[in-house]
Amino acid sequence: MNEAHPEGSPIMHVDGFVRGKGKFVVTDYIPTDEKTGPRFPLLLTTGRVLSQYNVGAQTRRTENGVWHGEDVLEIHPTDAENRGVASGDWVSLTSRKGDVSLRAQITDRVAPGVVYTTFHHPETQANVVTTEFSDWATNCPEYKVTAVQVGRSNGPSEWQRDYAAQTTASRRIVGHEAAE
Amino acid sequence: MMNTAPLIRMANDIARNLAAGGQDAAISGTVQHIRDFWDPRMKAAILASDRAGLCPIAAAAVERLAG
Repeated sequence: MNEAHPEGSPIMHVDGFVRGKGKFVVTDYIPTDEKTGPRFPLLLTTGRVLSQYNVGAQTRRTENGVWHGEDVLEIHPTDAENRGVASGDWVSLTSRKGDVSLRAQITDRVAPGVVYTTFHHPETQANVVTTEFSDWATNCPEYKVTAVQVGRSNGPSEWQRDYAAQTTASRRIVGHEAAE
Repeated sequence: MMNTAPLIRMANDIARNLAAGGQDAAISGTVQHIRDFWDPRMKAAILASDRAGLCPIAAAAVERLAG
């Protein structure tokens, strides 16, 4: 609603768009500030699988879990061999920001130097590891480029075990007498 | 008082990404972006800061915002 349209505009852009059909902007390539190095030599990128949607709040309540019951760390055979990691092993995934543990899956779907996981299961907490860099215009977090190191682990980290326990405890339902 | 280090980094990011359009456009664009999208407390904090670490375009933009 404005002076030109004091009653508002129920349907916008009827005759055309305010500033034309499109606005194309030339931008330079700006590399990420995140850097690999001796302590964090691999690059983690996160993504999705077909059978789960976003953080799985809906799809984890369906039978789709048979296809993707947990988030795993996809790692190239060379990187796995260098670390003594076999498929199914628990590994720690560590960045400058934090660490999580999850199971490894050896695959050549990822290039050497790159590891991949999904974020469909909350116990994985992939974004504990991702950086605090974000897009300049929208502050959308830079989830896809994180320098990490991978190593063998005994199992879920202590904070993941605490988190799982807290999650279970907070979902208990107290029994009570029926109203009638 | 708000920590200004992230604000400095964000202002520099905006300036860096607008630089391809030329210096004048980058300064105006940075000014406009901060006016349109930054919380008033963020604007106040960067104006009150010592502005150390701002790149030239971002520094010029903040100067223009202060004026």
